[in-house]
Amino acid sequence: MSTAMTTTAAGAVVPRKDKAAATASLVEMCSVRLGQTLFGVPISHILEIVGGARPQPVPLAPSFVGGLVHYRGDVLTTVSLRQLLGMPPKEGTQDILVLESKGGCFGLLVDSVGEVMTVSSADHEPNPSILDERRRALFAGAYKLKGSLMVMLDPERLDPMRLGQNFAA
Amino acid sequence: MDELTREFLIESQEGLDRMERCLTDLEERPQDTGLLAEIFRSVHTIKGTTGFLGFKRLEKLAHAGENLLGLLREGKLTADTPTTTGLLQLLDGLRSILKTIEAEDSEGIGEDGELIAQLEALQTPGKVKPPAPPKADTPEPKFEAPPVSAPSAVVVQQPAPVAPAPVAETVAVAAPAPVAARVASDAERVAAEAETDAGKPRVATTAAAESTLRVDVTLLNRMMNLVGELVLTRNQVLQATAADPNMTLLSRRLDMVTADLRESVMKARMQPVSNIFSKMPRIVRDLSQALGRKVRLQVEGQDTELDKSLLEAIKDPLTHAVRNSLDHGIEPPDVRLAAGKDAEGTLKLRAAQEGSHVLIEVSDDGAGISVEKVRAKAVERGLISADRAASLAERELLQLIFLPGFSTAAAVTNVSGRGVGMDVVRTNVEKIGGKVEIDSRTGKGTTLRMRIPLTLAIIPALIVRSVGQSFALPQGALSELVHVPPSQAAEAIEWIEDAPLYRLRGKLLPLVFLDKLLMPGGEHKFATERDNFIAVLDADGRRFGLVVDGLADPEEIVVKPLSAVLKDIGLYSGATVLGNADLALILDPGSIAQKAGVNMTAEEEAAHKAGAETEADVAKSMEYLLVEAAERQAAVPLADVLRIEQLKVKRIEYIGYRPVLNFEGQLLPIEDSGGVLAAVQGDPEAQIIVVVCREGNRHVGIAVSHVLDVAAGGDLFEAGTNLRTSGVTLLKNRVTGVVDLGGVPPLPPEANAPNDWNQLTETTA
Repeated sequence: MSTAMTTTAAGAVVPRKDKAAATASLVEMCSVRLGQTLFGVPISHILEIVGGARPQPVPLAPSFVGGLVHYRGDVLTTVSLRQLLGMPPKEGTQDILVLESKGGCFGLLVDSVGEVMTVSSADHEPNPSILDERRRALFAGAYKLKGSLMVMLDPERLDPMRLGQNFAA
Repeated sequence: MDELTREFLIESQEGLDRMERCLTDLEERPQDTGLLAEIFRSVHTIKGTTGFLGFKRLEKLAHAGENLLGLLREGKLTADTPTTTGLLQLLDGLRSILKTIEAEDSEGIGEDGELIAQLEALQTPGKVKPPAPPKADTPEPKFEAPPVSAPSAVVVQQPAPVAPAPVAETVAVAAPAPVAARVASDAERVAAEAETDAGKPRVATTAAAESTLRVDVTLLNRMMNLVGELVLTRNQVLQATAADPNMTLLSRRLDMVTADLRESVMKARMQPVSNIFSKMPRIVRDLSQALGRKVRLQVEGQDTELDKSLLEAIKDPLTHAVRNSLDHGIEPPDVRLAAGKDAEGTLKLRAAQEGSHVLIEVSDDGAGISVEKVRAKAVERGLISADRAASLAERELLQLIFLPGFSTAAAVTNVSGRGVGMDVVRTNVEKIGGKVEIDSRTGKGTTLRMRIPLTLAIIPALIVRSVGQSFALPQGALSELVHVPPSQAAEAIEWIEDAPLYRLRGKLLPLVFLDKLLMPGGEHKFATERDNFIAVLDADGRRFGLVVDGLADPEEIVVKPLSAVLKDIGLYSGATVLGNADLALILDPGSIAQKAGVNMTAEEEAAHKAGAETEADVAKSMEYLLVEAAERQAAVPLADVLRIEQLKVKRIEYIGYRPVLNFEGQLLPIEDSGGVLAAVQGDPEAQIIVVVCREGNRHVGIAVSHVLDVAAGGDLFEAGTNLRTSGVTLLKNRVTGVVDLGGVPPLPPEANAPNDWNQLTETTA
């Protein structure tokens, strides 16, 4: 699931080292804020972060499609995390994480992109059962940070092709 | 695989392609030493390099071929049909080994002993083993033909073919040694010519090889993408710097360089159609032998260039079409002779550029397609109802062969006839934005026409507005635009229950409201507070009007693919970035028709209309604008019509008694032989219609009361003499006078009325 990192990049966040961490690997996550929740996307899957985008809506598209954006000469389909989680749309511009998955590139529309954090796989826990079915299918567990939780997002699960099969609503 | 091997593979493939072209030419000119030298060189190069790279199996086979070619080149042997067949098998053998190397990085463990033995046998004139077909189930019995001194004893099952041109023959025909002898005397005579012929192209090839470079197609694709990006950035720079006079020069230069760059990159992707045409002689040769046909292949317009990816895309459809022509089109020689035709059939491949399209034609002079058989087959296969089939015109019936699951071959042959022929051709061609048409005359032959856009990436489109967004509508499907002003919006729309219709020149056009389609809900009606536009579209024979909120400029758009999720919506065929950096979705007219439920009734109606005309020669027919002038009908050749103007009769002025129209500062003579002007003389507010036509290099106007329709006219022939009549045409089964535009007298240089004003046109219906 998480990409093994042999060296840590210049990380301000120093991972806690307990005994279990000897076998645990470190992952760099790009933090993303959406409403009150902190999400993380492994940076190894991120091609680029595009700020201040206004995606072009696509009439009749499935609701999770956030629209189209122009990206390096190509037209990129975006997935709106807000729509996916059933949150009201945000006014103004949004940030886009350009992600790579098996089905090709796509964009993930989020409110704002934060700093890159290094987390340890030792702090990872699977999805708690209290989450609803849709969220359990979208989230890939959570990392326990100091004082907060970071919900892990797996680009493969957010691929519009896969979403189209699972949530064709 | 290392770089050296890869280079070798590419080079060898090219060499073999060249060899294949030469081999098929060789059949027609067996004494052409230039061709032989070229073939020899290809094989020799492969042999030399393989030895170096250590591909022993390839080297052995190439060596055997080289020996045979050496003898041929020195004139010790003559390239007769079995020899050529042997050489073609050598070519296939070499190719298959190369393919194995490409896939597995090793030669594989095939056995070429049989082929090598056969090549060796061919080296001894008279000691010939018949060439085995590539996949013969039973091994050919070995036998030795008697020596040359006893030509009568050579095992020949049919008269020895004298000309080794593509000739139908059975597998076991031995190389006719006598032919070799007979041809040998000609050899010296022809050799001199051939030498000089071959000398020139050889020089050209070397020069080309030195000045060209192999480039990976993916790199070109990437360059194309980046240039597209640059164009957009340029547009934004131009907009941003428009106000700054210091930047004008710089931005203009950027503009020019970008345009040049884009053109160059596009040009780099173009390749001549000869790249795929050159594969056809071999296919024709092999098939005509297998099917027992005699076929001459004619190729025209080889230099026509097409985008590389499109060229790849039409390769299969073209091969299919050629196979079909040979299997179903061109008859066996005896049938042809019985029908009074030349025993040798002609298959013609033609390519030509027509505007932004490339036309590719495959035509044969074979039996043609029996319309009755098509009709029967289509009904039998349940592709169409019997009633419908009976009502279809010949032309429409022919298009049925493009339906999936259609095949008229009485028996399933291994060449074609599995019912997956023409529909695949159509699907492949339509996938790249092209069109296929078929024309056939029983007993005369069949022509398959493919219209392919010049480049895949760029198409002309009209940008329309709806639901506050821009959409691109491909021009190919757009036949006309109708403007409905707010004042007419309320009554312009008519209803049959809840189906909105618009009366376009007296005919009902189903309407599809784009905004309602995109955002379901609300009622269908024209907006009364602003202008409405109807884009009249023709999609797969379905004609309908798409109502949009606004029109923007037509633009050449760069098509970008959509992700699968959005393609599945079914309305969009792609997306594009507009000049103002906005994104626009490209609408797919066919899917819109389907989604909106515009069914085939429109087509059936058209079919009925066309049905009445097919007795006349449709292929040669011309389209006419049918007009009505004071109760009489007349026809104006559509090609000459520039515009149709509706205006108040008071705008017509007179020079003497000649009516003229002052149109945008230019004087247009008005032709009023129908008496339209006279009929409304008392009422200056009355509306009349002026059809503005081109006549030579001047324009003339024709006053009419109504424009009725556009229809194809048919030729009429005088009874007895059978001469084609002029000035009249058969339009919708009525004899209709054609307005004689040339007869409209020129305006006098001075404004005095001419004296020779007379009745000019016959407009009796």
